[in-house]
Amino acid sequence: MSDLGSSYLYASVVVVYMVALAIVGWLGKKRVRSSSDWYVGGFKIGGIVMGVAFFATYFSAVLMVGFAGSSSQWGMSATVIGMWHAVCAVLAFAVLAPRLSKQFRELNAMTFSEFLSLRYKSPALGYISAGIIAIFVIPYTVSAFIAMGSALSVVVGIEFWIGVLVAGAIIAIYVFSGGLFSATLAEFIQGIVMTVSVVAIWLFSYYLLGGFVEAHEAMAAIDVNSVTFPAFGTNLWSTIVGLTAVMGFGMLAQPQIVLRYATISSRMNIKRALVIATAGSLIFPLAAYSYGALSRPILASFGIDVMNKTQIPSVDLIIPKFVTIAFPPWLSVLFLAGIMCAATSTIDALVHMTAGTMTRDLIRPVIRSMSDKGQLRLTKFISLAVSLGCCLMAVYPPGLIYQLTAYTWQVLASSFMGPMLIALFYRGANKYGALTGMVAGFAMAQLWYLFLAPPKTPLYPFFPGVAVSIVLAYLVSRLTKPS
Amino acid sequence: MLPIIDAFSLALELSPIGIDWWIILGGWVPGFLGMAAALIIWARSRGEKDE
Repeated sequence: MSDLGSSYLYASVVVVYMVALAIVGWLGKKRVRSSSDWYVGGFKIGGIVMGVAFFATYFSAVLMVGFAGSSSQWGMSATVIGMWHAVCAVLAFAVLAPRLSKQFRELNAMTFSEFLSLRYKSPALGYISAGIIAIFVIPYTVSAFIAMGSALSVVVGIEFWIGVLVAGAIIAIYVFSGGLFSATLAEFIQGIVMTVSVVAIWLFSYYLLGGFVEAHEAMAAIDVNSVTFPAFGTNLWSTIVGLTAVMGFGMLAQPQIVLRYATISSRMNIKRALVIATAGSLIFPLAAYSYGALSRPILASFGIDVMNKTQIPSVDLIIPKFVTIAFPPWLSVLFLAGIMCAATSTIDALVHMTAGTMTRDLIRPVIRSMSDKGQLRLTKFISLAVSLGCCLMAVYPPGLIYQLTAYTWQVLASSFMGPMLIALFYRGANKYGALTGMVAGFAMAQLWYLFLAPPKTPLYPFFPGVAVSIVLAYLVSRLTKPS
Repeated sequence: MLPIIDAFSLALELSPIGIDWWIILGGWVPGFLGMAAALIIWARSRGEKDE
């Protein structure tokens, strides 16, 4: 196909996608009659849709482009990170979701911060958690914009900043209108498209290398470390073990994901969502990390060394380059569609959550006279402002995709793991314990990140942050329990 | 002699599919066990009444 023909094909994929999302936004808008519908879908969203929406939110272009690009240098050991996602999806739906959704409904909580505030009868807990979410979700949202901008720029052949702005326009179209209904309906479709895309690239990568075992032999022939697990205590060992914990267990306390599994309509739907979410959490990351690792020998056959910075200046460009060089145009188009679905499905969840948290937990307590409709209007305006703000920040990337994502997830997990777990499993949990766990976990993760993060020590800030959050939340609750 | 020993120890570490056993036992096995657990939980709940 000529370059011009390819450009038209890619541009038409982008346009069709924008139109499809506009329709989804319009459909969602018709169902939004109150702020409850916008925030939590009126607690009416079914298990299958929510199961797909869960992994569409969990995995994004950040994984398809950023983490997969990094795994071209890490090798097959990166698949360990991905496989633990399935274990953590089981924990989320089988252990946490039944208790969490019950408490969300009983308290009529619409956001994660509101849940903490109502559960512990502490407005301060709501304000502080809302502040942490509003600030620290931004790096993750920016990283998703970077991933989509990188893919659009390399695959379509446009400037990076134009790619990022196109991503911003797509998000603005439908998050603005339909809230959680639009978001989950779109995520359902996006989850299917992105899974098909990732699996197709994964299988085609093995095909290009001559088969399953042959592909691993080709990797070993270039660098035997790419098929072995890294030695204990090395930088790569810290990265793999750290990311396995952060991206797996850390997911359990990510507010945007908690909102997905806490708002399912019934117990049976939780079980249905469990199977779908676990299957998606097994296949999607396994495929993405694997094709990332396989890209190294495939690109080597085209004379490109992924370790050579003069050939590929950033690991975030490896996968877009890999797809455009090694695959036929139809697969590049499928990849582009998958990237757009993966990026937008995560960004919409983040924007939806941040806007909801800012309106309901930070602004509404100050302007008490705000009506339900006024609240809804303000939430939509903030969602637009947040998505455009993050989009503009992504034009000048502040770091690598996986670094930004890992940082955000560690801060959020360290802050919220303790207060959330004791709320669900300890009857004596109180606001003093929750507040101490949240502040101490947050502070520990930040301090560890500044002074003791790898390579200074082999431990990621996630481990001490989460440990301090859980232990102090429990101990302080126990010590301050009324006699 | 050393290259032969290296090749032998590597062959012991690698599984028949050409990947380190640690990767399979530390990642792939827990992942598939998680999937099996999800299916069992779902199958056992099919007879239950919904709320």
